Amino acid sequence: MSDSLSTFAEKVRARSKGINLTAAHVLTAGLLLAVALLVTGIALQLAGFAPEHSRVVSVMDMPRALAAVEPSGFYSLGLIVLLATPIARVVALAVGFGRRRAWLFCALSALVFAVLTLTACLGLLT
Amino acid sequence: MTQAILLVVVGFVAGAFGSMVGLGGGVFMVPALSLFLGVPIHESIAASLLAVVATSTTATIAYLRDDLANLRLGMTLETTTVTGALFGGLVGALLSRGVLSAVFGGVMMVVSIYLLVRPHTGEAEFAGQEELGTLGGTYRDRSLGTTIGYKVRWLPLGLGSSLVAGLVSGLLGVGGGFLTVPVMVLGMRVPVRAAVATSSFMIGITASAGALVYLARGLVDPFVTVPVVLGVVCGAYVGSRLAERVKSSVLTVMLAVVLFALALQMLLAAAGISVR
Repeated sequence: MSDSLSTFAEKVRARSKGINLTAAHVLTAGLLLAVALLVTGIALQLAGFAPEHSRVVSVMDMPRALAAVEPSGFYSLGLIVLLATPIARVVALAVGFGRRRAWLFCALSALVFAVLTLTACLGLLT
Repeated sequence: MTQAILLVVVGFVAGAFGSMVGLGGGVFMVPALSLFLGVPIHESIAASLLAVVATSTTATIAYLRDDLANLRLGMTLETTTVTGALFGGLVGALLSRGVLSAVFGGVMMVVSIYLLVRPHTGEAEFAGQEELGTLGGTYRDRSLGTTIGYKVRWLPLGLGSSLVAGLVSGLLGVGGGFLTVPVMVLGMRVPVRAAVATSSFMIGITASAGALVYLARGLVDPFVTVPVVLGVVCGAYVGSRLAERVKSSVLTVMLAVVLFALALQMLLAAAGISVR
């Protein structure tokens, strides 16, 4: 085994081992939070807090909707948390690979995050 | 209330099948929502994109805990997928959706048939001595009771196909898994179980950017999306657990059937017969 660890590839593989759990923890936390918010929205809807058929509110209007305990505010926040979870996972991987000195994959994760951010910004602007 | 229950059921089925074959489930969901439940097409696509993120997130948790998803390979391929998605958004109007549907429909039909008829050589048992390379990996195959090791081959092919998958995924309204899973299995020699898990990891990242745009533009109807997402979460959890227990050969057949159905849908769309 020590022979195989002498190669660059095996060193990288060994350093990045265990990062799976870090990513799984980030995903689990994000998913549970998102589901909790969506279920809260449904509970409020069933309790009659929003009788009319409302759409997801804008990000700017979300604090007001949440303060007013409107289901649409919880739906919006839940869906935003759901969408942010994979992006948070990319950031967690960049940090995780960096802490393990797997610099190649740290740089690749940072690149993915940068392109993802640029894509989202362009999509929102156009 | 009946509509909400039907939406949960659609989400459950899409999440279960999508997570088992490494696709997002949009191939089942968009037609089901728009054709059978009468949801407007843009809201169907928006719900589908959010469902892809939910499928990916739920399934990947299980696949990561069992070391099935290859993060190093996934992040490497994701660099070209997100770049392709970026350029796809910029030059999308210049590409013919009909021609793309015809080309990819034809290619995928051939790939799906090849997956069914190719001689199955089985995965190599890992003895602990083999050189697996930077991107290679090992995982425990529960159906076989052995540890499987694999080395990734033809990385440029994978990077190229991921670029194309990102480029066309938004245009065709499907996830990138439809192209990356067969390329990983047939070209890069990644075992189907690891390819499915790695693709599940990747598609959530790609879909999240597109879904964010739909959300920001107010095209998300919570009365459609929320039941679908909750159904998907339950379905993807069940699907990812089932995928770990069924044989690789069964997963391959399932993948081939789904790809064939998607190819047929694309070819019909290219011929002007829309099923969405």
